[in-house]
Amino acid sequence: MRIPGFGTIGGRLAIGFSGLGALLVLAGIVGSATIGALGREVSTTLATVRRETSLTAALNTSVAQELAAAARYLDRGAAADLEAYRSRGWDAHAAQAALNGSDGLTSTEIGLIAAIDTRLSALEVGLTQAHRLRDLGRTAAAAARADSVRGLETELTQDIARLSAMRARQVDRATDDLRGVADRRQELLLTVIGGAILFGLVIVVSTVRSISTPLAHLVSHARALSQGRLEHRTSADLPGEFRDLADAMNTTASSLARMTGVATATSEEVATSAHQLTSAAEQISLAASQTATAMSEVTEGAETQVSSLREADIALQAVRERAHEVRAGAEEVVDLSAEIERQAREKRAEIARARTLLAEIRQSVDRAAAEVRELTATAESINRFVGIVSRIAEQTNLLSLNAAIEAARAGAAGRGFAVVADEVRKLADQAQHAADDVVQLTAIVTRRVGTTTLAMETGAGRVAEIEAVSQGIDGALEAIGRSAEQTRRAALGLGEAADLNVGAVNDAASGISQAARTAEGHAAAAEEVSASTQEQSAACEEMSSAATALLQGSVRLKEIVAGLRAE
Amino acid sequence: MTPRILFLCLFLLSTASCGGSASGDVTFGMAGPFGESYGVANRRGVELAVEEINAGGGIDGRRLVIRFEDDRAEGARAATIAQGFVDDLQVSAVVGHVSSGAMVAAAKVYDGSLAAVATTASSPELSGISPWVFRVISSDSANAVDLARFAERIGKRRAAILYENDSYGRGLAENFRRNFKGEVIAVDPIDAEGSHAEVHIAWFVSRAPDLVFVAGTERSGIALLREARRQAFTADFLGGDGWTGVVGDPVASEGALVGAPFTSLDPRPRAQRFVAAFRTRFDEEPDGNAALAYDATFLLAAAVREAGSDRTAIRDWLAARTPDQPFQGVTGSIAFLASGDPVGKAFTMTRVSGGRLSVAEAAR
Repeated sequence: MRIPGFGTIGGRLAIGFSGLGALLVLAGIVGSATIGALGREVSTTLATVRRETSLTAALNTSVAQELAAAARYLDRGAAADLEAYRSRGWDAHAAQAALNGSDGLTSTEIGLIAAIDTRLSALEVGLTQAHRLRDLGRTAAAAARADSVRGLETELTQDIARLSAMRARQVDRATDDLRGVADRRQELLLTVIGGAILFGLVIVVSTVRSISTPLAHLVSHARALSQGRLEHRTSADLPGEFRDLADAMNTTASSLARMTGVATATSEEVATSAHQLTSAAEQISLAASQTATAMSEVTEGAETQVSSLREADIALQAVRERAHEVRAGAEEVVDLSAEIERQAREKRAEIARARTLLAEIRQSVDRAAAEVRELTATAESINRFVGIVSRIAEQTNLLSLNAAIEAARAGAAGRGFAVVADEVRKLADQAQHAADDVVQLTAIVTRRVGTTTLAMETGAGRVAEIEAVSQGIDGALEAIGRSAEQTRRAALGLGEAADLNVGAVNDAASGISQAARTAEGHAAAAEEVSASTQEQSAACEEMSSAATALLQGSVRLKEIVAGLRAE
Repeated sequence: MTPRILFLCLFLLSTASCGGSASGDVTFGMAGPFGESYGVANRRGVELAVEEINAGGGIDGRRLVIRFEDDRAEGARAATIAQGFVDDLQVSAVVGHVSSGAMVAAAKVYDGSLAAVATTASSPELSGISPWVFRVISSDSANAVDLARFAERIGKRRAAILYENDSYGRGLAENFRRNFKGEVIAVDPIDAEGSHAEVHIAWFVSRAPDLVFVAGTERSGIALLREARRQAFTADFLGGDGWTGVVGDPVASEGALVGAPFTSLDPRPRAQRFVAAFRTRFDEEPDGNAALAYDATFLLAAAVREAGSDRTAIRDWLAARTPDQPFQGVTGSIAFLASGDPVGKAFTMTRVSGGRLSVAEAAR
C-alpha cells in the first residue's frame, strides 16, 4: 500500500514531522490533563482528610480533656473542673455528630462512631454519678462508681484509636488511589511519548534509507559521466526527487552524446568553409578596387547631364503658363453660353404654360357664346307663352262681363252668381297684368344677352392675337438656345485642346526632371558604390582573419570532442 | 443522560412501580423502636389509621399496606432500614422515624429519593436536614421554650436538669437550660434505664431544687419518679413529649408535669373521635405518640390520594402544605416550614392525674 505523498522525501518528512508534532501535542494534553485532574483529586482528598483528621483530633482531645477534668473533680471537687468536664463533653458530642455527618463513611465506621457515642454517653453517666456521690460525701461509693466505668474509658480510648487508624487507612487508600491514578496517567503519557519517539525513529530510518541507496546510484552515474562514459544510464526504482534527478542525468548523457556527434561534424565543416572563405575574400577585395575606379568616371558624366536638363525644364515652364491662360478663357465662354441656354429654356417653358392658359380661355368663351345663343331662343319661347296667357285673360274678362249681365238679369236669384262673375273678372285682370310684366322682363333679358354676345366675340379675337404673338416669341427663344449650344461646344473643344497642350508640356518637364534626378542618383550611387567598395575591402580583410580564427577554433573543438567517447 | 441512568429509568418503568404503581396496594414504610412503649404507641396510631383508611375503601380503591421495621432508636440501624425503604420501589413514602437519633441518621439516606414524615422525632438537629424530611411534632428548640416558660409561670426558680445522654435528651436539655430564666443547679446525664436514680435523687434532696426537668423517655422517668417517692423528694418533676408514657405507673407518676403534643382530653370533635376509636381498638388512652403517628399516616394517605404515588409528587405535595393550605389532623392543623418543621404546634401542658394526662391549670 502506498501512502499519498509518501513517495517523495519532502512528503515523507512532512508526514513524519506532522505525526510527531501531533503525538507530542497529545502527550502535552495528556500530561496537562493528568496534572490538572491529579491536582483536583489531591486537593479534594486532602480537604476531606484534613476535615476528618481535625474532627477525629477534636474528638480525641475533647474526650481526653473531658476525662481529665472528670478525674480532677473527683479528686479536688473544684466547680471549675466540673464546668470544664461538662463543656468538653458537649464538644466531644459535637465532634462525634460532625464525624457522623461526614460523607463516604463505611458501615463499620458508622458503627464505630455510634459505639463511641454510646460508650462516651455511658461513661459520662457513670462519672456524673461518681461526682454526685462525692458531692454527697460518699467518697468510697464515688470511687467505686468511677472504677466501674474505668473499663468503658479504656474501650472508648481504643475505639477512638481504632477510628483514627481507620481514618488513617482511609487516607492511605485515598493516597493509593491517587498514586494508582497518577501511575496510570504516567503510563499513558510514557506510552504516548514512547510512541512519538518510535514513530520519529521509523521516519528517520526510512528517510535515511530512502536517500542513501538512490544517492549511491546517482554518484556512480555522475562518476561515469565525469569519465566521459556517456552511454551509462540509471534505471533503478528510486523515490520521487531521485527519480527526477536520475531521469535528468540520463537525458543529459543522451544530449551530450548527441551533441558531441554533431559538434564533430560541424567543426570539420567549419574548417572547410573557413578555407574557402579566406580565398573568396581575397578575390572580392580585388574586384572591389576595380569597381571603385569605374564608378568615379560614371559620377563625372552624370553631373554634366544634369545641368543641360535643368535649362530645358525652364523653357517648358513658360509654354505651360501660356496654355493655362487659354484654358481659363475657354472655360468662361462655356459658362456664359450654358447660362444663356438655360435662361432661354426657362422662358420657353413659361410661354408654353401661357399658351395652354390661352387655349383654355378660348374654350370657355366659346362655351359661353353657345349658352347665350340658347338663352336667346328660350326668351323667344317665353314671349310666345305669354301671348297665349294674354289672350286667355282677355276672353276670361269677356266671359265674366257676360256672366255679370246674366246675373243682373236673374235678379235676386243671380245675386250670388254676380259676385262670382265679378271675382272671375278680377282674376282675368290680374293675369293680364302679370303677362304684361313678363313681356317687359323678357325684352330686358334679350337686350342684355345681345350686349354680352358682342363682348364675347371681341374677347375671342384678342385671345387669338395673343396666341399668335407668343408663338413668335417661342420661335425666337428656340433660335437663341440653339446658337448658345453651338458656342458652348466650340468653347469646350478649345479647353480640351489647351488641356492637351498643358499635359504634353508637363510630361516633357517631368521627364526632364526625372532624367536629372536619375543622373544625380547615378552620381550618388556611384559615390556610394565607391565608398562601399572600400568598406568591402576592409570587411574582406576582417573576414579573412575571422576565417583564420574559425579554423583554429574548429581544430580545438575537434580535439575536445575526440576526448568524449561518442556512442 | 448516561446509558446507565437511561437503563435505570427503563428498568423503573418496566417494573411498573416507579414511585408506586397506578393500581394495586399503596405501601408506606414505618420504622421505630417497637420494644419501647412510645414506639408501640406510634405503631398503634399507624395501625388504627390504616384500618380506618382501608375500611373506608382504601386510597382511591387501593389498599394501604405498611412495612414495619424496628430501628431500636439506633442511628446505624435506622440508616440501614432507610436504605431498604429507598431500594424497595413498592414503598411510596415513610411514616417515621419515631426517635430523634434514628431520624437524624436516616434523613441522609432519604434525602433526594423518598419522603419521610417523622412522628415524634423532635431534635433541633432535624430542622432543615433535608427537603425530603418533614415532621408533625415541633422541634425541641421550640418545645423547650414552651416548657421553660411554663416552669416560670408556675413559679419555678431553681431547676435541676436530667437528660438521657442521646440526641433527643441533649437537644431538649440544652434548649431548656438556655431558655429557663431561673437558676440551673445541675445538668446531669442519665441512661435510658434510669439506673442509679438513687444518687441523683439523693443529690437533689441535698441541694433542694424546686423543679427537676427531665429530658428523657418513660423508662428512666418512671425509675426517677419511684426513687423520688422512696426518698420523699417532693419537688415537681417536668418532662417533655418523651414523658407522656410515664402514666404507665399511675402511682409514681401522679402529679408529674408533662408537656404533651396531644392529650386525650382535647375537646375538639376530631380528637375525641380518634380517642374513642383508639380506646375501642386497643383498650387504652392514646397519647401524643399515637396521635402524631395517626396524623402522619393520614397525611401521607391524603398526599397519595391527591398527588398520586410518585415519590417526588408526594414530596412536592407535602412541601405545598403551607399555613394557607394546611392538613387537618387530630393534633390540629398541620402545615410545614421550608425546614420541614410544623408551623405553630404548641405543646399542651398537662399534669398526670389518675393515670391520665389532664390539662394543667397553669397552662394556656
